[in-house]
Amino acid sequence: MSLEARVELRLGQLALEVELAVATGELVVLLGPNGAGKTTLLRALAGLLALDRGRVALDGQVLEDAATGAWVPTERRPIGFVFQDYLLFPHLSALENVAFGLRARGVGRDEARRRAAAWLERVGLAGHAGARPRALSGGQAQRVALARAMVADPRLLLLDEPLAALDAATRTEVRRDLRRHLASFDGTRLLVTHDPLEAMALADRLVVLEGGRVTQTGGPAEVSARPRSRYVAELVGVNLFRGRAAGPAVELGGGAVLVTAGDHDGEVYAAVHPHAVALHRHRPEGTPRNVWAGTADTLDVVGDRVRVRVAGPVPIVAEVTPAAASELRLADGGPVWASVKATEVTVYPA
Amino acid sequence: MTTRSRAPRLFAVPAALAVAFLTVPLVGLLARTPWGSIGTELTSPRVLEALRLSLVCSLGAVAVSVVLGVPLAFLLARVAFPGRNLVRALTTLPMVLPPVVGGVALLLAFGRRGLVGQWLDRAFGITLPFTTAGAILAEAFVAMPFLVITVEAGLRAMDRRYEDAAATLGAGRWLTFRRVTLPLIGPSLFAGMALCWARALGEFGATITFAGNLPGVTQTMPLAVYIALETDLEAAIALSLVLLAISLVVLVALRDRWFPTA
Repeated sequence: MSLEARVELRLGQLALEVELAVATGELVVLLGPNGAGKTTLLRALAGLLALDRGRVALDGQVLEDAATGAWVPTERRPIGFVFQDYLLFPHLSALENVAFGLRARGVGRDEARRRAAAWLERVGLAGHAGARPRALSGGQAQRVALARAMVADPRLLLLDEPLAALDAATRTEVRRDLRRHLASFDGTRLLVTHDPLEAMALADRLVVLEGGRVTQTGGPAEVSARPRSRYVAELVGVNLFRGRAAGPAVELGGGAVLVTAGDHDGEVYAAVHPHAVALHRHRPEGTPRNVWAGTADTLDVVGDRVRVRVAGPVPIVAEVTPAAASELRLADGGPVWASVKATEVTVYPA
Repeated sequence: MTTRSRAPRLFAVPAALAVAFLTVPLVGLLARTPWGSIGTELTSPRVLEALRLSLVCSLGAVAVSVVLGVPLAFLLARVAFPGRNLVRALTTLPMVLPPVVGGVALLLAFGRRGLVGQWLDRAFGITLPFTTAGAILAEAFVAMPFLVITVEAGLRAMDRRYEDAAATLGAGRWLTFRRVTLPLIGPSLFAGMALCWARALGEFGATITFAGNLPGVTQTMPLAVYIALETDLEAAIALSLVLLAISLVVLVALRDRWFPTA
């Protein structure tokens, strides 16, 4: 394991308590809502915030250990940091910004400029070496920030919402470039975002941070298939229930029961994809085992589907075709029946 | 778009009086200026001597203020040491202290038999009162707080995360200060220096009390103006015009800071 960290610290309202291990060459994406402590965690790993308790080690070298008082100051940590709004030095040119880290680490002036120029070329900004940050577009500034963080060959690369400052149009393009540059980096990479799309596109592994704690970790496919919190479930757009399983039945509380195709025991999560939820104006006959009454609450058009939020004893989101939505006159509100086949329910231990 | 103003109508009268009160003296000065002979007045040895001395003393005071005041401002802005507010209050006191009192206090501290002065005299044979160095000291005493509070405000307003960014790039504290902090607070430092210089240039009370009024040694322009007023009105006016011109230059240099897009 390359980065091994246990971080405990309090900052205002936030109580951060996180254990994190990232392998060399692995790209871990920290995903979480605003205020979850993602940036705080990155700053603590960089040594910009002191730990109350815990330990940070990189490739076996202890960077900080609250128990022994060991402490390597930020400027001597082998890290690269891309800040959310890039923080390019406004009084220096793009080239000088990139060369700054090399100069600070004792590289001679000419060599620093040569290596900085090579990096600017690598990120496609050779023609902007003399430009001040003010004259750069958001996407260009992001690439200068990336070059600046990577030029001195850090062993740990920390990226704080590297795409958040960009408008939607440039984001797609810059994300593709970022992915390419991150792939060329063989050290440990930790990227923070609150954008699920960005997280899914970039991550080898996701770590979900909520309220200062890790609520879930796993590959993007695993996390989206088996969310372990309401936050993740909403991000990936599935219905998440928590309850007590006994055989195929999951007791959801309030008397509601979800029938599944499997056999489970104890506290479980149950995930249901909205497209597996069927809606009816009258109580359906026949096979579906799970049928609940409710009212069509809100309707949103998502792509070529209509998302219907059904309020009732078991609140659930369904996705239907626009044709079905108009046939059922869902826009009028009123009572509907939601049904889910037992085979469409994914159950996993809580 | 025009915003309908909601100012009480009666304010027009005292406001007009204030404008008149503040500008009429300047008009008076210009009206009495002997424009024909001003060239000879300004190049008379006495005026030139006072001008030279004023520049030496005021720039010396700015130098002392920068060397001592910038580090002080940095600590006041960035380090939460015990007694910080007390230190800030004490070091800004000279701004509101009557300069004459400052002069007396300097004399009691740095005079030949003063607290520090007698030691300076015995150990190094240095005496400050009635010397050019003393005049510089007196001006720095009065002017340094202007630099300190301006630079401290600049440091507080600056985005400190630039310093974090420098640290992640391997820059130690000193390098970060030199290459990142200092350039970023450049405008504040410049404004602080300009204010400090203007204040030092006009310094009268502390200088005359502590350093005396020796032509060529401690007689700076304001002192020369005061003396000339008794004997040679035209010389006094010429010297005053020079000081007025310098004040205008400082005002213009700082206009963006004080009157942003007014």
